[in-house]
Amino acid sequence: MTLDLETILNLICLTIASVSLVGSSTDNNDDDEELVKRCAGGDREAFNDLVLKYQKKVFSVAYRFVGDPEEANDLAQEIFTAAYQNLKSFRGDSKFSTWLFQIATNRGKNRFKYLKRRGFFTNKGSSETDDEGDQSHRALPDQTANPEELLSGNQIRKAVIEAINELEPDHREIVILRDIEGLSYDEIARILDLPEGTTKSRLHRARMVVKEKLKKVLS
Amino acid sequence: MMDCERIADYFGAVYEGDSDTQTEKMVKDHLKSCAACREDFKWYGVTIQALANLEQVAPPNDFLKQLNARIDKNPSLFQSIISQIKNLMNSIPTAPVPVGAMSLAFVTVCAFLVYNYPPELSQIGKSGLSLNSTSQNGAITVEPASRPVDPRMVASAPFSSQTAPFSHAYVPYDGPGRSSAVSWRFPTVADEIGADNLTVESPQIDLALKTLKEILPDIQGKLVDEKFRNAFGEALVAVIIPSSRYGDLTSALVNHGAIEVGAKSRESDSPAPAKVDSRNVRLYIRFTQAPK
Repeated sequence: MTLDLETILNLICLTIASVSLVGSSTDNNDDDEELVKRCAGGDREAFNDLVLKYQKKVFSVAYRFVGDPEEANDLAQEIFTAAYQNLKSFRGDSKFSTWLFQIATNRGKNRFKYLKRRGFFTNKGSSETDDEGDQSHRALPDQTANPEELLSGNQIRKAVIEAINELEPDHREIVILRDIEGLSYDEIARILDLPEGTTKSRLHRARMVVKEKLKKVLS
Repeated sequence: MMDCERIADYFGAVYEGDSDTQTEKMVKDHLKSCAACREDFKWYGVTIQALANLEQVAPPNDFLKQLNARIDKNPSLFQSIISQIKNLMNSIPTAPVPVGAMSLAFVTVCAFLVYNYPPELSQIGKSGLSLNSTSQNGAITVEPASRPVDPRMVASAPFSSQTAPFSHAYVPYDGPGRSSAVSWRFPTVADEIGADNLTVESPQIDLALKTLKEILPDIQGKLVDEKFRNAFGEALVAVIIPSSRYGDLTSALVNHGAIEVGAKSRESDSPAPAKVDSRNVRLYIRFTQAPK
């Protein structure tokens, strides 16, 4: 029995499709599946384990959204509380971490908008400047300084924070997830429910905005 | 200038090593020849590094403890409802029955009360089979009964020791429970004797009674009892007539000089009287005062 060329090509295509399916299902594998199941069944210890595993990242995201430790603590607790109360509605279509970061970004964005409307960041920025007023004057960068040399200075940290605080919420969240927290494009795309291309282009625009602000302040 | 804008779009891919070799070469060639883009690219890198170098932050040591306290303090809406129900049940130690059972019992009691709600005095004559006299000389109209029988009332009717009331006629309750339920209005004759098979509403009850007594011999009927009258002039009589002549009674009343002819068409809706024996039926007729 002889296999013709068309049959061989079909077999190759089927093999590729199978590999792709296996690959995609592997993407959905969730290390937290067991803990999540136990937690949904009312196991508080399982929930505590999930909190211990993700509290640092969630707190960090929260802090980047609000820029204040107390606010960040409150926001992070709000995020985990929401996750705990809605865990039964988590269907496992995505990883638990993706779902958790979705809650974190949504809540973070909302809290950021809320605080911004109340001038939280403006007041905070001016008070910080006042506190470090003398230091700031002394730390004014040399106009001829090389950009790379600026990275070692304290001034750039403040400039970056101020630049982030002035970003639009959509730009802010993507900068936080990618450049500060170091999540992959694929994961960010899932969290924000965006195509990967859109994720990259939006991040690029956000970076360009921050870059212009830094350049304006530091050069 | 156009090239510079295009090149800037590739900064991210080139910086992260995510571009193909052709794009990377194009960008690098441009940067060699364009000082402004070279400077921009440097700042682009500085921005990314500055963002990545922001200080690390960590949650407080008692974060988990605080979180658990918060969750216990602010349960979800579903948990709140369950908790409220539990609290409600616990707050009634003498009746620790499920709220659902309590609600069912409450609804049942309400339904029972509504079912036994006493009808208005004016509604008795309108809802039952009635002969309505609107003229000064005792003109009568016949209306069909529509209310159901209350079986508890049968035994209490003074004339019903061995009979049941009409199947479709309403007999008001006169048992012990009723006195409290209807204490807000004056009792009618029908209330007191518990019968209401046929209502004759007339501005001149005496004339109506006289008419009835004149009719009875013609249809081989007889008056078996006549109840007292109350302050409103109401009276109630019991008659026994041949069962075949029940329809003739109302016809005879209509044909008598004091009755409106137009009411005859509704006789077919009249309820059947209770049987005394194989030939005769017992009929209660209530006479009420019509407005003048």
